Amino acid sequence: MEFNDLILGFSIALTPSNLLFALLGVFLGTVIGALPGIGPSAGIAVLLPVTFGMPPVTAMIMLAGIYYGSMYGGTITSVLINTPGESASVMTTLDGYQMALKGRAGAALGMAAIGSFIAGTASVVLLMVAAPPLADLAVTFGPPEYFALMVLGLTTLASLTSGSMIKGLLMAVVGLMFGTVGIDLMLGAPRFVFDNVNLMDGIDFLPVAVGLFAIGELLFNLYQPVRTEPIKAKLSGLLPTRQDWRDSYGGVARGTAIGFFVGILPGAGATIASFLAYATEKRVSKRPEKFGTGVIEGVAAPESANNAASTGALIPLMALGIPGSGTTAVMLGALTLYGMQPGPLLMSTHPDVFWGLVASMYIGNVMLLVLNLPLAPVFASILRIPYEILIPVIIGIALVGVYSVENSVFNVGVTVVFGAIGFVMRVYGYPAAPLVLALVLGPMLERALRQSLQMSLGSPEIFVTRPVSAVILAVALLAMLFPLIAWFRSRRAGLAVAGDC
Amino acid sequence: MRYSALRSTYIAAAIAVAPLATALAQSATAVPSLPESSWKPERPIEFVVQAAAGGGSDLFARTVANILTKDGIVSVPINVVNKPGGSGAVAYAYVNRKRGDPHVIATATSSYLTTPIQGHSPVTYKDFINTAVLCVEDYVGVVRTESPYKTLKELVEAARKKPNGIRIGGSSVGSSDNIIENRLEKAAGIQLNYIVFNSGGEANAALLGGSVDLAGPNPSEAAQLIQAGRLRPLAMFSPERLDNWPDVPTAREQGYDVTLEQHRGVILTAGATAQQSLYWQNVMVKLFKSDGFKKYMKDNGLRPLLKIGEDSEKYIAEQDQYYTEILTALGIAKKP
Amino acid sequence: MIRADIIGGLLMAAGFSAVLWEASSFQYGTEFAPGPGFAPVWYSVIGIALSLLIAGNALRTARSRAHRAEDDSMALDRGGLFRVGATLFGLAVMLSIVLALGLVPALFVFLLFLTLGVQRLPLPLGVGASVGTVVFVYLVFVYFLGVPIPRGPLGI
Repeated sequence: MEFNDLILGFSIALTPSNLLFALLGVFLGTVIGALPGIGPSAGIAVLLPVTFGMPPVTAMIMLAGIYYGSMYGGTITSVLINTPGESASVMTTLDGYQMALKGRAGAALGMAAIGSFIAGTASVVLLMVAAPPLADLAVTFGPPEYFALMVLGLTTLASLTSGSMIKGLLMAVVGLMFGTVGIDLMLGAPRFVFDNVNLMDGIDFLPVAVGLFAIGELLFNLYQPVRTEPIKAKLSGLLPTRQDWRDSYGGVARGTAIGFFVGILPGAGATIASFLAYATEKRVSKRPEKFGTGVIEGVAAPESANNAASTGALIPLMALGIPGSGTTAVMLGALTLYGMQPGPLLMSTHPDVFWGLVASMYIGNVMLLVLNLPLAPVFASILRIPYEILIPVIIGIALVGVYSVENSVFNVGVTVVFGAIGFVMRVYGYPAAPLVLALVLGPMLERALRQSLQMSLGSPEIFVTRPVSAVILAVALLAMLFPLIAWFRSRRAGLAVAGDC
Repeated sequence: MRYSALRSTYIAAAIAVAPLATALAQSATAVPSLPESSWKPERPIEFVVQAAAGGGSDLFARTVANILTKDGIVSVPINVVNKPGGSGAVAYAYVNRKRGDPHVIATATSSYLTTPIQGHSPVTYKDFINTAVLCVEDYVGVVRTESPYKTLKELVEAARKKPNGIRIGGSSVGSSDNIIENRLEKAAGIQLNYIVFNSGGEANAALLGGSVDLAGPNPSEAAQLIQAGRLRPLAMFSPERLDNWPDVPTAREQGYDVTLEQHRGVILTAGATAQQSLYWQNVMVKLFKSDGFKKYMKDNGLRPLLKIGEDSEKYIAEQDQYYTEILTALGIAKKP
Repeated sequence: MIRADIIGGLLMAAGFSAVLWEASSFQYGTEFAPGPGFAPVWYSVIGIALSLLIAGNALRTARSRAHRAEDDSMALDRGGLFRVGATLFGLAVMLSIVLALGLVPALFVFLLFLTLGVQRLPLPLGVGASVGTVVFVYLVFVYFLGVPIPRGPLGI
């Protein structure tokens, strides 16, 4: 990197029209992220025609703004109405919504904005100074390494549940099972498809998440009003406190690191990043038992992670021309549409685009912070509306939002079915988070296992002879053993008490 | 400005051979002259794409829609509608439900044929009017630069010594990569180890990272990586060398008769009248002649190939037969 | 809760058994790697084990507990169940008429049913919330984002 490049970047990003489109991008991103269902990839796709006729750098500034802006926006509905605005915000519902129920929605939104800003800015620095070497590092992650990473993810699933661990594990297995639906990628055999074309690509994650979390919660409220009184906190008292900051800064730092690293891996993505960040935070926390009841670090860590991941995902795109996620694939398409061939030469052939984009991302993150901090209490005041009026509004927006992702009525049906399932689960104490996360991890886990063994012609040694995979698997083993030991201990203690009476 | 000076030799080369390419295109595909149609669309057009936003088919549809409206070839608005899922099955089932509505058109590429052959779609190409084929995409066999194999022959010999020793990466069973693998195995009498990835992008990442030895991307996907010295092209799987890459020999030249091309075309719902069908044929001819579409083909490394009406139906039927043969050999065609 | 766990555990064990039955017809392995049947078979085996564990644990607790009657204090609220059932019924009806009526009109009909029929909100409030939601959805998704929604005879 040369200093001149960055000056060139800022000279481009600071032109009035580019500033305006950066602002428009981050604002649209916030809206698209906040709307349930429709997320960054669908959002960028539908807004792509708007950018026709713009100079390529302006278009990229706007599209990237939509991408990372949506990571900020996704928080809003997760916290306020338990409805993940996009898939990377699912983890935020766990503690964010509980905070909102306690009247601390403003603090949750404010901390998410601050965490996102720090994570976003730190990731842009990394993108700027080290994109090519990081991209080279990312591609060395082959199937065995992905397998190890997914195993690590699975070992943390059980820790996500409050309440019965067996029920949590069972829900994870249910999620894994749903993840096998569809045409098998490797052999083309249909599994649990029942001749329905809509099931051939499997069950989408987002309709399931919106069904289980948002619709399930609404149905439960119709069954038994949880929140009868609208929240009456003062707007001014809604920002994060000093104590909140002390609780969160570690989570922001860890979330940023995890999110960025997972984000640069092609195919892993922001959802898994936010999930690993949350699980890590719970593991290192001094008060893990409070997770899921509304602790602020449970919002700060995953929100920082998904922002860092969205910036990290631009690295394989910009440095190698390889899209690692649905959203970056759309951006790749956009670049091609503007007559640019993304790849390792992009930085030297189109320095204006690369550096203009980098500079605009610094500016965009500042804009988002300025936009979101004062708006946090305003958004939070939505909760002053009586809940029975919010119920029809949320159902309507959620259903149309889910439709918009793939223009699919079938997905709306999936949302309704999982809403019903989510209601039953809620009534009988089965946690929803392990199910949706296993649904994301499962297909990748199975694919990586089969790819790895196909690579090694059946020898499982491939998982331990590759150093990175071996290290991650060792960490996973430790992560699995600790809670098991703790569980057996507490169980023994519990049984002893039960035996006394 | 600095970047314009650095602008790649690839583009310079492309511009240098452009007249030749145009000449070739004209000789290969004579543009037919059609009578004007008496029908005109009365409502906005719904242009269905069988893939998610951002992919090659989406890019094709959005470019086409943009040219058709901007150049005034179609006088009503065109809305691009993505119906991803089921490798095209969802979209074509949807289009089939609109039978008889001439305001619905759809993109078609190899999955239009391969998905029904595998028995994964309720409809086949015979359920639609195959209005036009506009261009084809080629494939190039690439290894990473660190690879010991300098020619396709070296790679084949290594595979001969060690069956399953060479890994080839691709996206899904029955994909272009899978077909290339199968044809190369047949042509050379070898056994390769096919590793399936979730997308072409992930397969390319695995190639760069050394998890697989060979991949078969489109030239446009590989161009920059080749030029930056990250990938080495071993063979074109096209009938002849590409104008842009005169130095890359075809597989056929190297003694392995492996060719594969992916067409891009537009289909119409069955039940459209002859005049409505003629209208769209005229539109596609005008599109093919437009500067915007020529630029799109050049930017994306597409080979122009115009087939209209009966020619298009014939081409599609031939392709279908070819894919049926290969997918049967791969053991994934639906048993009749 | 205890009876629910016993019944729920047994039901889910039965569900996973059905899945196992279906999965056992998939190819279990290929020459070198696991096949499409490998994961579903093992997931369902683990699922059956965990479901039975839940049922078994609940059964043991029920036996060891002196005051069994307390368990059924968690009986479900009938009025609540009716509201949930009616809402799900309304959603099912909405889904079946979406293609004929158009997404926005179908949603509007459902919302009127939900607010006035199920929630029993005052008429102006129910109609207001329904109209407001539909207008918001139309403006944002259709007008602003240009999402191609199924349209009905009314053209919206």
